[in-house]
Amino acid sequence: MKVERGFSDEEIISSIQNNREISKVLDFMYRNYFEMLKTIILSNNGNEEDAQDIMQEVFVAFIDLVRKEKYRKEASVRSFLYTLTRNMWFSEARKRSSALKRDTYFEDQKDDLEKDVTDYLEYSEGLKFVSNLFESLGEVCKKILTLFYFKDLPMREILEHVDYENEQVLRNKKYKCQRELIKRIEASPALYQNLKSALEHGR
Amino acid sequence: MEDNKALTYYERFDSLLKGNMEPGEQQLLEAELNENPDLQNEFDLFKMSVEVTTRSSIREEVKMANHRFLNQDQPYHKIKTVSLTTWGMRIAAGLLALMVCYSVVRFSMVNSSDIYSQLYTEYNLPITRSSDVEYAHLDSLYISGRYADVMAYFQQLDNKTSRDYFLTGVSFLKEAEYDQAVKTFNELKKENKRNGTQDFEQESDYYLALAYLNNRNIDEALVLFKAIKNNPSHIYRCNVSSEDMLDLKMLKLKN
Repeated sequence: MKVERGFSDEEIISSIQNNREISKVLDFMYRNYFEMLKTIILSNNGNEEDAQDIMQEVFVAFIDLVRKEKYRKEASVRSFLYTLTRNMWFSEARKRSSALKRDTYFEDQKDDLEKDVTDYLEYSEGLKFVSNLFESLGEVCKKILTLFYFKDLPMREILEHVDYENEQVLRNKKYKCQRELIKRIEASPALYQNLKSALEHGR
Repeated sequence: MEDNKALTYYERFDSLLKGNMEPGEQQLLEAELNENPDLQNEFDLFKMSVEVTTRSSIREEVKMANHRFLNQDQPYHKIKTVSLTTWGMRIAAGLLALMVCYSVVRFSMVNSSDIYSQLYTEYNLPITRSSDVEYAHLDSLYISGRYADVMAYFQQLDNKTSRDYFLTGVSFLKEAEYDQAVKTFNELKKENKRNGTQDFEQESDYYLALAYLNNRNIDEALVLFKAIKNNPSHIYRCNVSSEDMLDLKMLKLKN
């Protein structure tokens, strides 16, 4: 009857860092933490839709922070997610509030996070819509780049997932896909600047 | 840059970013990047494309998990309308009788050990693979499951942090020394009060309540679990269900 603990904190971190069972880890986190985190938003003037949106941002940030080894020893995964949610929701609420309230109330509500995590959140703000750019690449390019950079698969294994005759052809295709993505980044000055800032500040 | 040359550079960039490059080759590429601003710019764009790919992939995974979660949960969110017909009333009466029987059986069987097992959740410290993280000695003992050593080491510490108090409290709980667990969690709360901090405050609420439960101090346990359940932003709120509260109230009546 209790919360199913399919993954310990240690297993969550190790799965994310080693790209193993990410979808199962996410299912576990949704099952175990979503309701608890949702109450933060609902009890602070947010609605169900806000909760859905913020929770997606929280889980994206959490996975990215773990991959970049910015999540270290600060309390448990549960507490870290709790703090991330409060910070992300109060930042959002601050943006929506009147200028009068902005300077004090919502900032006071935020919990302390380590500096590299707050930096990450600050520079990630402008990168919410990178997916639109990536989506426009087309299925094959998305698949090759995802398998290579996110799943960290070697070319010979990626070959099993796509219809190319050999590794060299696949390598050429990956190069072309990446070249195309870079062109699209260059064509979007705001995104380029945000990415540059994120990279300069250690992401 | 011409395509063949660019492709070679891309593969070298990949090796550099993935940490697969030989040290000599790495030095060579880094020197080239330092000397050639155009190449450095190309490398920055390359890193941006990797960043866009990973962020988009993570977002896609989260989006799918969100979708799975919502679809799986849908049946539970449906509210059914019940008409109060005679037939419906009969079913309700039958259910009521069943509930009474169930409550009697439940009351006779409820005990603190079972409730403790239902409510107990392991407290795990996150372990990272990063080599630059050094664990405090007490943390290492806790991570290794050497709870008796945590308790002994805690006594020797001159400057105790909130984390030390909390991990020691949980260790006492693990070793079934409930009086000591209660004492340690209460000391942590006093420290927080004195310093105007909230370190491990909510975690302590939960594990202190568990310690009270095993310490036969059901009244105190009930007060704490109720406060956790009624606090929408408490991080352990979801661990305490209405059923648990009912069991605790029954336990209080029995004692």
